[in-house]
Amino acid sequence: MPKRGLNLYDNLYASEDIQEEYMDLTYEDYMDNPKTKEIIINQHFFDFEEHFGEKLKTIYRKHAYLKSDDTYLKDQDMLNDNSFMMFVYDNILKKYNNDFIQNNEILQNIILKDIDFAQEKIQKTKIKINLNTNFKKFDWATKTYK
Amino acid sequence: MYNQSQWDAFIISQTKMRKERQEKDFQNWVKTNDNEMKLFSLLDIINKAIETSSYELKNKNAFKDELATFIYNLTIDA
Repeated sequence: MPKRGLNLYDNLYASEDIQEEYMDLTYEDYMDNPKTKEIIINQHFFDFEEHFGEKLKTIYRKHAYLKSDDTYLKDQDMLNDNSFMMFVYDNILKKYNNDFIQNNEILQNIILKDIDFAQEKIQKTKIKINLNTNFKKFDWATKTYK
Repeated sequence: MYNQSQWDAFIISQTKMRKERQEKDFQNWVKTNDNEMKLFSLLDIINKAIETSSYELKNKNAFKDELATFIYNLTIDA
C-alpha cells in the first residue's frame, strides 16, 4: 500500500513564519495607529464590562437598595448602577498591553494596510516629481528652460 | 460702578465662598445619619472586589475621596 504524505510539518513551519511577522510589531506600533488604538481601548472596556462590570453593578444595587434613605444616595430603585460602573472604570489603571494584542491578525492587518497605503503614496509622489523634471531642461547657452 | 479689577476680585471672592460652602455642606453630609459608615462599607466591598480581580486602582487614597464625592453628587442630584 502506498504511503500517503500528510505534510504535518508544513503547517508548523508556516505558523512559525507568521509568528516571526507578528513579533515585528510592538505595543507602541499599535498605540501609535489611531485605528488600532481605538480598537484596543474599546476592547479593554468590553473586557472590563463583561468580567468585572456586572460584579460592580451588583455591588452598587445591593448597597443602594439597602442603604438608600433621605440623606444618602436616594436610589432605592438602583438606577445609577451603570454610572457607578463607569466611575470605577475611570479610576482603574488601564493596562492595554494584554493577550488581545498578541498575535491579533485584525490589528496587524490594519497596520500593514496603512503602511502599504503610505508607501504607495510616497511612490506616486516620486513619479510625479520625476515627470516634472523630465519635461524641462535648462539650457546654459541661452539660460532658458527648454 | 465697579471697575474691572473690582469686578474680578468680586468674582474670585464669590467663587471662593461657594467652594467653602460646598465643602462645608459635604462635610455636614458625611457626618449626618451614619453616612460615613455607609461610605466606608461600600469602599471596603469595592476594595475587596478589586483585590480579587485583575484590575487595580490608579490611586487608592484618592479613590476614597472620589467615591465619597461621587455618592454625594448622586444624592444631591436625586
